[in-house]
Amino acid sequence: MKKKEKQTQKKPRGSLKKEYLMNYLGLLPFFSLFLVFMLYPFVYGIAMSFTDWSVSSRGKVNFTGLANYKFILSGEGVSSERFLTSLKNLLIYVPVTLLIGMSIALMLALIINNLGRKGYGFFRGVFFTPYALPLFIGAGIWQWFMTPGTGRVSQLFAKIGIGVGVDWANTAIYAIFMVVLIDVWHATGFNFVILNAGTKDISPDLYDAAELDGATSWQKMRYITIPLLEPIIFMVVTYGFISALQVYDIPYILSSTTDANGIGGPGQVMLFPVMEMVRNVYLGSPSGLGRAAAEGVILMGIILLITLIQFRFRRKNV
Amino acid sequence: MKHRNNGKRMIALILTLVMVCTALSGCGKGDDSGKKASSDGGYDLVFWTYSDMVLNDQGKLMDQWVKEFVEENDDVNSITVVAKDDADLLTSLMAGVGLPDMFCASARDAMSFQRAIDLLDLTPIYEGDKEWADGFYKGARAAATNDEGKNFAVPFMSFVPLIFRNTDVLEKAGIDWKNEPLNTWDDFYAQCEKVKAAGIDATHSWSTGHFTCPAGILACDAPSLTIGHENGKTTVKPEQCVRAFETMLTMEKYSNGTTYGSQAATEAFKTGALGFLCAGPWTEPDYQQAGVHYDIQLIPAYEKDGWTGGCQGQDWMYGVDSKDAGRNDAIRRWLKKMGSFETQKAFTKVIGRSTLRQDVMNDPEALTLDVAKVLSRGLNAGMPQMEFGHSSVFWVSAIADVAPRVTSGELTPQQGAEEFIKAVNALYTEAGE
Amino acid sequence: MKNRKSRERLLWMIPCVIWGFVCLFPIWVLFSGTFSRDSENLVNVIFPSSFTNGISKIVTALTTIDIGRATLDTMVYSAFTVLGILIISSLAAYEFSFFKFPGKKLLFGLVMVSMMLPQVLYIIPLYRMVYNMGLADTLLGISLPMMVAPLAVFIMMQFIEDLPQSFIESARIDGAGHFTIYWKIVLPLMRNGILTTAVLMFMRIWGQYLWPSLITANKIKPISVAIANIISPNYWVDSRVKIAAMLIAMLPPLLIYIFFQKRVIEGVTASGIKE
Repeated sequence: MKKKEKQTQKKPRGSLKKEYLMNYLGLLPFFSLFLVFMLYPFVYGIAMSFTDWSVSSRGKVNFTGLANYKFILSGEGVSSERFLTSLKNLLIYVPVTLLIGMSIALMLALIINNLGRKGYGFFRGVFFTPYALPLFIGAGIWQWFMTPGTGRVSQLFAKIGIGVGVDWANTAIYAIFMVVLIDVWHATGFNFVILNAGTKDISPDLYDAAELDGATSWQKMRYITIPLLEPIIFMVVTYGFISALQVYDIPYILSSTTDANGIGGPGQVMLFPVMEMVRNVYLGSPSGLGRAAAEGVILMGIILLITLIQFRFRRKNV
Repeated sequence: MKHRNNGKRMIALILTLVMVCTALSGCGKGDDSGKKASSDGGYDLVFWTYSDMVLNDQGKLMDQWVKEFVEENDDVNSITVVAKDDADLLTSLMAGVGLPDMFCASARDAMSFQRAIDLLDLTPIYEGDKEWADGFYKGARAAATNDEGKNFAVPFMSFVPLIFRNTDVLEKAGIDWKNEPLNTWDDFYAQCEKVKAAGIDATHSWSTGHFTCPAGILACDAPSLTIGHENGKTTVKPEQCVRAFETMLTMEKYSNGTTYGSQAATEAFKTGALGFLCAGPWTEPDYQQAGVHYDIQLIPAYEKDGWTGGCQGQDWMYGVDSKDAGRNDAIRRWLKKMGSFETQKAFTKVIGRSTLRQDVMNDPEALTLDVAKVLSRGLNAGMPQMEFGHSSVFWVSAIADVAPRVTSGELTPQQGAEEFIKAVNALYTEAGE
Repeated sequence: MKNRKSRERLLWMIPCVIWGFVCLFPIWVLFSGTFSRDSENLVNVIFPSSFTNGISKIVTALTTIDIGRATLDTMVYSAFTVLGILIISSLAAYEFSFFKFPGKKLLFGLVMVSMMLPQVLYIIPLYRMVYNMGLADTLLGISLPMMVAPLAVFIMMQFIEDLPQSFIESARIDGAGHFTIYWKIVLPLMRNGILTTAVLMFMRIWGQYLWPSLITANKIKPISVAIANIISPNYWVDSRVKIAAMLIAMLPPLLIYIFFQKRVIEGVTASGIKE
């Protein structure tokens, strides 16, 4: 019942073609806008990664083949070193933030159904508020909380032995965890909303039947909710990866300074790929924009790989 | 179910209709204001500038200048002022479309501007009025001149970072602050010691998190720094920077762990929990509003009456070549007005920000506010953040990565200086200079 | 039975209260900060101490950044964009979920891949193109590019997946046309998905900065740009005013969320299926 049955192929040829036409018609609005406003700039951006596009180009670029890519992956040169460091930071950041964030969001979405009507309504609004707050001030307040020495949260952590006397924002590894902290606080609201709506789509009849069989709420969760929620969980996790790999706003706000080289903090402790891309866009160095484009394409490749792995993994297990 | 459907459909339909109507009414022909004069013979110019110049007191001044200009110049109908900050502005310029007629932006990006668009040649203004042209600081004027001797910008604003002292804290520490300014670094160390002895934090970290403080210290050595670059390397030598790193190391003793510019440091200063705060002049209203008792000092020199520190940022005004002679002339007139003695004097007098006209900054009438007096002294020393107008490399910023490693003990000052020069060279290589 | 239920309920309350506190404490602190005296250390404030000061900060925030106009403008283009997104994305999700047709994999792949390239990269060619179309600083100019929302398609597809195929089959047998099925059957059943997508997309567009700041000048004032103007590092704005402004900016999306979430209904009932 869960799996979608493929459309029966018993229709005669003519009406199949007509069916296809209908399909394309339905897709037309989306794809016409997509073609113009997304595909064209997208292809343009990718194409530019093979050129020496820079601030001085003024529309005339020269084809340079894989030069930008070779440069970035070589490890020689400021931008290359920074980009490779940013990838290393990503390696820590992504799994940690997704693991913690997704667990919390899923747990909340499951638990909240067990509260009474009033509790449900109240907490649903509460859990969403961090996502509604502009990220600038959201990150800002956590910056205050993590002030070395006097910040409330950093003091709390120090009490349980984590990060004693550490300046979180400017120290390697700790900086990444600071970003994780803020990201989980902020993005859980988003993931919760989707998962919560997903739980609402499950027929209450199933729960009633389980009640009659004497199931506890934990058992209901485990055997009804989670399996039926699987497509949505998959989507949230997949999108979570895509989004976490492109992390930008929070570390940018935390390390923002007037000089482009300072973004990401001293020693690039919280530098991530998209931030390095942006730096190249504004730097004005030769091939600067071309390099930014190449960095974008490399990142895109990584994201694509991870997403494909996820789709493959799902197909095997469902 | 059907009833709810119909209701939803109705709402959706109405919303769509409303939206379509709004869309049609909002659908203009775009910003393609013709570059030729409009039918009644006047130009409508567009001026992009920093967002603070359109708000509050600065906004009122700007409105007044626009009004004056439009009245004085018959061929200009109007000037539309649009708020655009650095990153937006650069992105828009790089896209090459929808360019304004003139804009005010940081001098840091001057090279990018020159490369991305055709800046208007402003030499006619300089050559046409010698008194006007000579009023600027020589350094700023030279920076705004390109290699072919053509002027491409009008220097407008500048700043030097300052040290604010919480005089209540100083009094508690037994310092006679009225008679003890921060003349030398030794004075500064002594006062920090006294404040610490009184049980109050002296200052924030002068090495972590931001380039302003470490670079400000480096600027005290500006006379001995051979600034410049050739063959892709800086001409500054490591041994010229060692003293700066040693100073940073000493200052770290007095740090309370917070970083320059952080809210925590500022709030500590305002509530009397911090004695000395390094900050930009624009932050002064914050302390006034909080009722703090403070005075303003420059980053000290190494000897009495020596070279004080602090890196200068500069903002310039540029014009965009419109290919229309009449329009270009109008643009030049506006830029001339912006760079004029009267305009910049009003700016300094009313707002308290320092401008790049030496004749203004040395005119006692303009220096009505204390902060302006201090800035005026500071502008005669210090060091520009970078080689404005002749390089795109923000070389002092490399110090932000190295300074924390020196103060944490990972590197000695000598090693720190060498790492710094290495990092600067890497930046020049990246920029292809 | 009742005892166990209320005991369970209490148990489940605990994690909710903990996370609820984590969510609200920062916002409470910000609120207290705005309503505190200027002489207090803003970073350490926990409880409000000055009602009048807070009010004056709010008033300053409202007047300095012309928040009324910014909210209205942002509301208009956000609503317009979200409406567009709902229509075109649900259609696309419908086609992708239920049917096979040549090129389906390719098209779907394109949609997915487009989420993977950071916006900053293609923003310049996009801006140039929209400008050359004459749409700079117009409603269509700001909205159309944002109407392409692969995420929305993705979300809706997951909500559709839960719908039984039998609905479609029975409608077909009754002779319903392709789009009639979409309009009359699939759409109402996707109600929760649509509401969720609407709220989330609205939030994202409300918070978008890069694109709106590029494409607008003086005719349309997005709220994210208005806020960015007062948090610029180049000059000083009273921190309490900044916080007040952002708390105010948080209200419209929050209210929209509460309003729409009330309408998310409990699951598909069995009686909906025609046997």
